[in-house]
Amino acid sequence: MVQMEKYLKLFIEEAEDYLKLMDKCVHELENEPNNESSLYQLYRSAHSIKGMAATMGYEGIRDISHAMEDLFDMLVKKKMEFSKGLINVIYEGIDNIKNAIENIKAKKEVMEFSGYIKKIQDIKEKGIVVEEMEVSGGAIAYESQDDLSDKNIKNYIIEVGLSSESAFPAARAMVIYNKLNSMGKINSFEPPLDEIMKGKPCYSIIVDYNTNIGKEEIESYLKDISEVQKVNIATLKKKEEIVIEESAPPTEMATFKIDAFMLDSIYNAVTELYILNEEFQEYKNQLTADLIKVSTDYNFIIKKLYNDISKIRLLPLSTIMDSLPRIIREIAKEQNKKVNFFTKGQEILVDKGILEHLIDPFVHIVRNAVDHGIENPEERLKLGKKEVGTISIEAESESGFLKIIFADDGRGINLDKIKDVALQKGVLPEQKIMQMKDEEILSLITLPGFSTAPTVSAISGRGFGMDIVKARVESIGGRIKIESKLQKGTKIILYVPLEISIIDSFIIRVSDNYFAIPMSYISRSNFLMKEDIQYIQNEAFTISELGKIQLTFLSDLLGLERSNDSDNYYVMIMDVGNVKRGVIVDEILEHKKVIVKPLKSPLELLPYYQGIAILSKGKLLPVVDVNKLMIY
Amino acid sequence: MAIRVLVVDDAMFMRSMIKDILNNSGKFNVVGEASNGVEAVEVYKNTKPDLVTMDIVMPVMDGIEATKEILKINPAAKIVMVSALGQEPLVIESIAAGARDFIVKPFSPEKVLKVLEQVAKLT
Repeated sequence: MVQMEKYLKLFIEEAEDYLKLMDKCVHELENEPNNESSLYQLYRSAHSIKGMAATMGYEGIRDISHAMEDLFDMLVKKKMEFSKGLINVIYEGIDNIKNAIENIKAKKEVMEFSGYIKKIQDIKEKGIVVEEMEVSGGAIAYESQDDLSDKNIKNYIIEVGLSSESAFPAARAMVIYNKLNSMGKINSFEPPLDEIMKGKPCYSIIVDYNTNIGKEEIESYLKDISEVQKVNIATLKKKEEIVIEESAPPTEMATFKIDAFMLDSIYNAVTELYILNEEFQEYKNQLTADLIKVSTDYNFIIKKLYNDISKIRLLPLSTIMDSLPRIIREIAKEQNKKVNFFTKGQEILVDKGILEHLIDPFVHIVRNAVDHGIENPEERLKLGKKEVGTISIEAESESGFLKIIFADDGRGINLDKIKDVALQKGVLPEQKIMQMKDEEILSLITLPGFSTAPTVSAISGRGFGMDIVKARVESIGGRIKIESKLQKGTKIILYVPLEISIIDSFIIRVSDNYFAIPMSYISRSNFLMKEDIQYIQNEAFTISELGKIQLTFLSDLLGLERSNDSDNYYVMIMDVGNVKRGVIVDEILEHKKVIVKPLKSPLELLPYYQGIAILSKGKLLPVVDVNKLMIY
Repeated sequence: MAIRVLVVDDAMFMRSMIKDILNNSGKFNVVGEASNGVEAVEVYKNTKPDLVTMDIVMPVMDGIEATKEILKINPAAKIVMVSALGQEPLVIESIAAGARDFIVKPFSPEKVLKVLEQVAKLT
């Protein structure tokens, strides 16, 4: 008992903290019944109180928090719908625990709560919406983790390395998350689940994990999951000892400055190392068993090094967005226009190399929006619009790409005028221009030599420097899409990778030639049977779930022989300019991360190549700029 | 005893490919096929398979919806998504909805069998 006395104060303090947190969460649920994170915190709090109470020997608190934990567990797992009626029940439980703790403080009698526990039992039984069926294998995801309070629970730090061949590393990480979640309690998951759900690619996962399963068993479960290449598990000391470590004040060395050039230099070296390692891994089968083990570790460490160094280079988008309000205000003032400016997503972290390429496009696009998009207040009022125009920038990350939408509610782009100018300038033959869809005409303003002309910017409502914007965005493997409605406004959407130089790409084959195609262009890919290709006046089409899609053979575009030996092709659906097109290749060999180096003089004159990809074994592959290829 | 599988895909080509891979392995037995989500739910009810391979993009009802529907019938259902490259967001959504694992087209028979065997033995 003397021993326990020592912990009593700690127990009371911590339990009270959890109860406060629970109060807060219930309050959040009152306003927002679907708030999953509040539910989850309730679950965790009840779970923690249960564990502490059990250790201290307070059976009443243990049982009531156990019952509440079960209820929250069902709610978190959506086995029961959360309803407002539950709020009072939850408050009642929290109050019960509070009272019990007051009693402990006052050294009064220990309470018991069988009435309340019975109430929860009843709710659970009546409230169940889904019924579990008896099926061979059983329900892993729905087994409750009651026994987590027992003494066999250990705390592990688990590192999982995914194969670099993994096509969907984020989806794979979720499979791992679900697997671990079904066998124990995840204290933290790195990268965080919300980032994974947004598609953040992660080849290295670190989990802080509690479970009563042994180390070997966890390891074998994880290794069974496909594409898991490496599992490292460390058993941690008791939780109490760690708490003390965590609460230690941060040391002065927590952050320090580093020269940007030095950082670039380290980054370049690590990038090269990453590719060298890819090459090395391809020779794996020539290694002895001992060396294979070393090479697996080596591979894992290099990937981790690359991930870590990439993280150091991340800066928030606000780095370049913060200067925009001032630019807008100045131009608006100069031109007697009134503009409201909104931004969203400026906290998103982007590689500094990418950010550097985005500065000019951001300034150009925003300047154009004020200059040519937004009308002056009198004109707006006459058109029945609000006197004050609106410009917004919304950024979001989507499967490893950054999507930035610039929108204004100005006059929009006049397609007829673009056509006129295109004809006048002889940018493209008349016949071709007349056949173009609206979306394609819009994309004409990004052609070099088209948009920089002052006459264009004066009449088209937008134009200055769009070719520069496009070139910049494409130089980092991104793409641009324009939408505009006359009198309604214009939207410019940029898709850029979050990381530079290592580009996600497909390695494809056309006859005997191999190319790399950046994933940023490709919205989906699939098999295509020869008979699925239809011809109308020599133009190839296919009907897919996206509707009728015009097809082009990559071999035709590149002036190569079309191979006729195969019945099956692969089609990559691309967003070209503003329309979806299918590009046919003989084979998609793999999905790979490649380093892309720009072409050096005189090769940069080759219009359809974005650069050269360096593969392992020193192989070089041209990176095809499909976008450019299809527009001309 | 062979593991009983329902194969869901709108393309006959894909269905027969997966079916051949599974039936030839000796470990699996394809007991049902469906070409859209609505059919999938129906066939699931009738055949009660041990495993489902589920295409994502399909007419009438897509694979994610069908996954949710099947999990309503049986929360322990083991569903493996079949996805084309470039559809990671859809796969993530499916896994969040309760799918157990996924395979990516184009795939090798070994890969398909490995993933399905692993999911089948999960308890």
